[in-house]
Amino acid sequence: MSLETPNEKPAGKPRAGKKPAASKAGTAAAPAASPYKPVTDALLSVLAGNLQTRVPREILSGEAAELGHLLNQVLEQFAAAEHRKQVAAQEIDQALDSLIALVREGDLSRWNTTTEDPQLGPLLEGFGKVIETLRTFVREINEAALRLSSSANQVLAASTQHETSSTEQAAAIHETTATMEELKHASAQIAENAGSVARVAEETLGAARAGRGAIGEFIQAMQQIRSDGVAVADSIAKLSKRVERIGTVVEVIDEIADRSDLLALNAALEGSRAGEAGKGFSIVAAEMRRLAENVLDSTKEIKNLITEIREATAAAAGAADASKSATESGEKLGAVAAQAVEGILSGVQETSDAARVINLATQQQRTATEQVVASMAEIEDVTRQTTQASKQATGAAAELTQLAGRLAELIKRFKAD
Amino acid sequence: MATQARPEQEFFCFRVGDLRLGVPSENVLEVLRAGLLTPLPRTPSFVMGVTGHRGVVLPVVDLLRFLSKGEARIGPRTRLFVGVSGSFVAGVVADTVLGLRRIPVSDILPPPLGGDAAAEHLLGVVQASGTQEAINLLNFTKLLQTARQRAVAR
Amino acid sequence: MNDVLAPEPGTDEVDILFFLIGDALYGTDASQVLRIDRSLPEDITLPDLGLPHRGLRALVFDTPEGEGHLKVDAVNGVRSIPVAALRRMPAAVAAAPYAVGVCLDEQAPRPVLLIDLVETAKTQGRH
Repeated sequence: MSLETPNEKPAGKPRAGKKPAASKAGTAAAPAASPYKPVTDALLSVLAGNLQTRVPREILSGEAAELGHLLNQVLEQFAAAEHRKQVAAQEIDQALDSLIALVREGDLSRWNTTTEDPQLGPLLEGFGKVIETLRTFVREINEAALRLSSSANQVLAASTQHETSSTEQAAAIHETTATMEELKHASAQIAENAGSVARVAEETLGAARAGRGAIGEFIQAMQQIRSDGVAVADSIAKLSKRVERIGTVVEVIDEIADRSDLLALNAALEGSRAGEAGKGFSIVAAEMRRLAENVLDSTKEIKNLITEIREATAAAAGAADASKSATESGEKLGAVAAQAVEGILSGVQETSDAARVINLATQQQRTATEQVVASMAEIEDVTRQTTQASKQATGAAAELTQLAGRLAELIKRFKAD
Repeated sequence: MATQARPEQEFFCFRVGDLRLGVPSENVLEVLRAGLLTPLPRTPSFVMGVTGHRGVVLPVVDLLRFLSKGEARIGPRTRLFVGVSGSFVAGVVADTVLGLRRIPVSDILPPPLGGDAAAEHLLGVVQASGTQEAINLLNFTKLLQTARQRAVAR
Repeated sequence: MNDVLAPEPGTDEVDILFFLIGDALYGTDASQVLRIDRSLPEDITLPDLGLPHRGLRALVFDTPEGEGHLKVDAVNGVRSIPVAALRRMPAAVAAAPYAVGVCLDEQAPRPVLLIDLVETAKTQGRH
């Protein structure tokens, strides 16, 4: 190894190479044996690589000895330098080995190379600083990788969560949209129904108003009939009284006629007893009787008429009474009906108003629902996009997590502490 | 005298029930309203009761019952004529007084032979002519005598 | 014998007791009546005078055989009637012996039959 190192080391070569180049020029100038031959031999040996070679001092004299001595000193120093060079190279190799091992194994913690070589010190120190920096990097990267991994996990989780939520949201929105559609239809139907109700209520209102008018007229008619009936009853009562009076008068007439009849009869009998003298008297009496009989016949007729009138007036009075009570109950019924119709009117009015309000409200609601449906469609669209994005994000996050894992795995190979 | 050439007799004519009867006018004193009668106990059925007239108690006779032709009913227009025969006076019920009729004696037909019980008290019968209805003429004196006899003979 | 139609001399009025049997009004010489009593089942009733409604009263009178009781419905009271208003029953009608006459009182709408109470007892005895 010690032989290879200088060969491999380009840094040492030029340094070693120069010397021999210089020595070569020297050797070329001594082909004849000379007192300096030992020196030349020594130099040749050295040039051949035998660095332990020295000029033997005993064989030399004079100037040669001097030169030999100097040369020995140079060789001695050269050997020392060479030795130092070897040590330094060893240390550098060691450092390089350490570095290589560090890089290969990622273990930055084992860097602990020192030197006493003042020339290598700064280099190693620089290396140490580089290692230290690397360590710091590794630590930070490790830390960041861990954090990244965790964050990526979190992102993945969040993204997955978001995707789920987004999907759920999409479903919910879809459902809501459907519901809103239904609501739209329902409210349209309600609006329609409310419209129908309003129309029916309007018709009912008209009918009820007409009914109220009719009932008013009915009640008026009933009152008229009742007052007419009262007048009729009064008239009947008066007629009844007059008829009774006529009856009394007729009774008197009857009585008078009856008495006249009797008187005439008895007068005729008297006349008959008076013989011829009473004959004319008898004729007058007979005439009187006939008159009385006529009166009686007439009064009988009148009595019959009175009886008929009595029956008729009684019937009329009964009818008037019945009419009175009928009209009274009619009025009462009319009042009840009027009240009922008033109730119906106000109820229908309320219904009509309410139906109109419902109609309006449902129309507004329909508009609002339509807007909501439109909005929901937009939201659904957006949500779909969001879901898509979420999926992509989830994919990305998964990839990121994977990458973060791998990074963390890679970073683990570097040991900073 | 013209009357002697064609003798007439005057009758008091009346109706009771379905009977149209005549009584010689000299047997009739007066005509009254029947009025209220007082029934008498244990008298013959043809005596309907008594009534007071001019301070006299008049027995009232129902000729329908007497002649077995039904029963008289007294109403507000029912008449009572005061019949007299000798010392006997009685009220006789008449539904209607037809009046005094002078009937030619020649028009009076004898009562039908073999007639009913009523026939024995008839003077005769006058046939209907024109507006005049047929009338049975009563022998009032005989009738009252029979009535008395029947009442007392019980 | 108390004869309604034979008033005592010097008087021109007779006290007549009026009573009802059924709906019929009758009169009798008040002096014949001893008293008015509650009727008993065995008291005299004369169907020819009409049937009493309830007959709760009895006219009590004296007879040769003792007291007589005529069942009546009500006693209307006693009034003095002028003798001129009283008539004997015409013999021709041959009425019951107790129907002795009538009272032609102007206050009555029809003649009131006068009854001899003692004769009623005799009639009753005969039945």
